[in-house]
Amino acid sequence: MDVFNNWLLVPATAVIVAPACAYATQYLTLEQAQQAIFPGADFTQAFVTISDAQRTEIERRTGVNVRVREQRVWRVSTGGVFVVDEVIGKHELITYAVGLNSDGVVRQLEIMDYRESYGYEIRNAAWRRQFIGKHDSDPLKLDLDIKNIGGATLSCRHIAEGVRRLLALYDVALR
Amino acid sequence: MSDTLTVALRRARPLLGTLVEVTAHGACQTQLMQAVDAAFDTIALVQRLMSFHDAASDVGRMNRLAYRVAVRVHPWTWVVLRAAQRLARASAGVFDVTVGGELMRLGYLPAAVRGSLDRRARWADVRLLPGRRVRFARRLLIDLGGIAKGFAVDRAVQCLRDRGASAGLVNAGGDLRGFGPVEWRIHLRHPARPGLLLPFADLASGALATSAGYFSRRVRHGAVHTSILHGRRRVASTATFSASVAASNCMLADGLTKLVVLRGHRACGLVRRLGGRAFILQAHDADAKPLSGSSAG
Repeated sequence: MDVFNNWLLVPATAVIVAPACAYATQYLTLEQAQQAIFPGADFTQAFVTISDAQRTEIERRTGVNVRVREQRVWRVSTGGVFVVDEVIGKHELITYAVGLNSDGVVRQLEIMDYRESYGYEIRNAAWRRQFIGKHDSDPLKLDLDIKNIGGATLSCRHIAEGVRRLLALYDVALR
Repeated sequence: MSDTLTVALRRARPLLGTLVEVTAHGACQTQLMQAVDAAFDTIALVQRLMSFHDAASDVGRMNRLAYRVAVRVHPWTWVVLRAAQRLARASAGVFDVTVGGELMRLGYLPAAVRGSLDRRARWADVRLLPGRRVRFARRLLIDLGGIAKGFAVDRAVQCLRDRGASAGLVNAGGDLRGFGPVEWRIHLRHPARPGLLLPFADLASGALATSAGYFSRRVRHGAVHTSILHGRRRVASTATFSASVAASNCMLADGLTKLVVLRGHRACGLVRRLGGRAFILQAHDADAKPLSGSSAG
């Protein structure tokens, strides 16, 4: 098969000995995310602090906990708002940006940063040491920017919940 | 690298229940941005057509209606259904998209329909009729899950090519496909420690899909099981290894991984006959063993 000639397989021995313990990647900076969602627009930051009453209302409407009171929001010159938010899963931290049109409809969502960590590996230095000095060509390094994982990423349920929370926030505090 | 690879873009969005990553290389930033946007739009269309969760999708409509009337589906849904049926026939029913009811009962899929399902229903009860119409001979639920994801990756790659990207990679939660004069280093998760990433292979052009239970493994009635079900026996896989399959397209690669998860080394011959190449990553030593063919590219 032709496809196999295009594969350069790492020898099995190298596979065993070159682990990296966390996955982190930045897709977009703040400005890049703003321009990706609202091309050509100007952005004015609005400091939004969610009050107790607003928090209660958002949680009632969405069933999603409001953990952070300060929300990073920008008003967009062409209409709408740009919001940066974070969601925290069991093992991952995702920073993402959402653009909402002035009618409160999601215009676009972009992941800005994705970070994964698994505490037991980072804490367990003894376990990690077994690999040190044995690596082939890939350095053992925490927070290494690894490009492509051929195994599932974690569920995006938390992002969906985050968007629900932001839509309610828009309705309650920004509209 | 040639001069045409001057700009690179990499974006991620949540789609298909996972994080989908699109990377594109090309000569023109504006053209690439449009290509990447179009690739995400393509994946979003596949999601709208084939999501189990969406009652208005082709899959949702079939699951509600196809037991009573023939349901006409989108050409893309048709392509995926035909591929699913071919794989079911070739694997004597080990691969079977009619496990939706069991996945629902196990809590992996939300409740989709009222009324009782026929537990005897199997892949052969999905009838593909002329005019892209589908009819179920028994009350059943299909879930195109993995192969729809693979299909979405294939369409997104085609989209990047059509819009002038000189190289690219689309990765939908472990179903990935690359093209162009770039070698993409692929890492696999350690099957027992999914936060640990192991460099596996450099992919130039072709698809690689990986299936494992690490994010779906649950304990139920004292037994560990995953969301990968044996189509004929309706038993959830308890495999502790991960299975990766390289193939010319991602839809096929994804489908074949399910056979490897369910049948282990016994799937070897079939995977090869169907045009794939399988690798098992064992949990105990994280040692990649090629199942079919030699390990040198």
